[in-house]
Amino acid sequence: MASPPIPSAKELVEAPLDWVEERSGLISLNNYLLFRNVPSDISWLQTLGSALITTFAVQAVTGVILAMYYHPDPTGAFSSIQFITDDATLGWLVRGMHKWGSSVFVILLFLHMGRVFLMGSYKYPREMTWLTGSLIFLCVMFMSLTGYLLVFDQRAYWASVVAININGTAPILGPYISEFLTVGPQFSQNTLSRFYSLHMLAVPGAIIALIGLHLYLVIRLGVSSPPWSKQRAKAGEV
Amino acid sequence: MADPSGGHTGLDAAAGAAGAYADPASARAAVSRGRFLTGVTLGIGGLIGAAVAVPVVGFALGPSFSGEDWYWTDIGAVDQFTNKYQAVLYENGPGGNMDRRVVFVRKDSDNPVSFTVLSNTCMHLGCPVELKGNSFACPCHGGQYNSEGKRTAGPPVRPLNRVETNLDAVPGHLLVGRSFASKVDDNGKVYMSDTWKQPGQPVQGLLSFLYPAPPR
Repeated sequence: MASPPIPSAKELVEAPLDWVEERSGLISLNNYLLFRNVPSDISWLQTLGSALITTFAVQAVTGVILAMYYHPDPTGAFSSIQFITDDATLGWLVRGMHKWGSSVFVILLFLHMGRVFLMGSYKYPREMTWLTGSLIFLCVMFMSLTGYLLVFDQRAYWASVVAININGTAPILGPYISEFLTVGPQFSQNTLSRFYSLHMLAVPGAIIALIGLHLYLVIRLGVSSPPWSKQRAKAGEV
Repeated sequence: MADPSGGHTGLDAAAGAAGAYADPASARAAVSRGRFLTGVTLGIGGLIGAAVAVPVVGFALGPSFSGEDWYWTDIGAVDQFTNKYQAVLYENGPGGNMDRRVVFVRKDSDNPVSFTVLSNTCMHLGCPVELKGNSFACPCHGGQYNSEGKRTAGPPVRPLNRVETNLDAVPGHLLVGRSFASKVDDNGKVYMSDTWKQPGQPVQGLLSFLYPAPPR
């Protein structure tokens, strides 16, 4: 009686992938997303978007862990920050990644926008990519505002008071925006909870949805050649 | 050809020898099965969406515009205040640290007893001002006020808020409540108004119309 043939290592790897591919098409989708053709004369400047996604992932992961130890109430917020920084294992590192990561995010975002602007990559047919990116930019600004308060030391408190009042100086809508943010006529104990909820639930959800739309457009429309490109666009390509 | 004036024609046609075939011009064909179901799905979906959205949005916005909890605070005997400003820290609501307020209290006259009570919130963007001799200075962006709380330099758009006082509730004691916007009358004298706006928002002049005051 012949024993069944021993599968090779290659077959051992491919068999489960084939199983997934046959039932979901995810492997070919993955290949389609990751192994796209791009112009040959693009440079490191076109990797700023990927860097931003990586930074967002870092912010999301470190933020989730920080939320496990953070207490979003006026009496406990700062002491929980002290616990994270001074006592919790590697808490100083995770908090530092989140804190400095937020600055990295904003810096990369400006560089990415500058690259797209200076190379004219926002032009037809990529206007919607630019617009969704602009919405992500606004969300990130709002993340920076709401995140700053959460440390809840004197600097965070007064900086947020000033920022909320700057919102209040917008004509007509300003007073309503600032009262929405403070949950009442003045800074109250609900302000911190509101900022926390916006910072960790509402705005990140919006950013994830917008990144999805942004990436869909990037993949659908392809990466643009730089303005000095010698390559001629083939028919049907832009 | 169906009668365009009535809806019965389609039903009659369906019931007749034509069977499942509906006259394209009949009322029955005007709303196809697919369109009807699409409309019903959108309608019911919209109702479900509204049933969720209305309470959620109301809950998110309502508490912001339904005023604040506050109470009168006894900040001490009338006798302890003089004609020089004194900083007083107190809480005027149940929010603990968050309802902590600082006022500058000056006794203007003994008989009848009257006080000037200024809030320490800078009317530029809300930083706390500090007492410098007999005037006030804001550390954030350099706003300066004179002894009546009137702006003398820097970016503030209006005088320091004044705080309502109560001398009757506890005999011989000064009670303070909420702060209200100060206005300047034609003679340049500062007085407490009954309106309240956040810092940075003018209360007098043309620009004040750009800043409606939400209910307090």
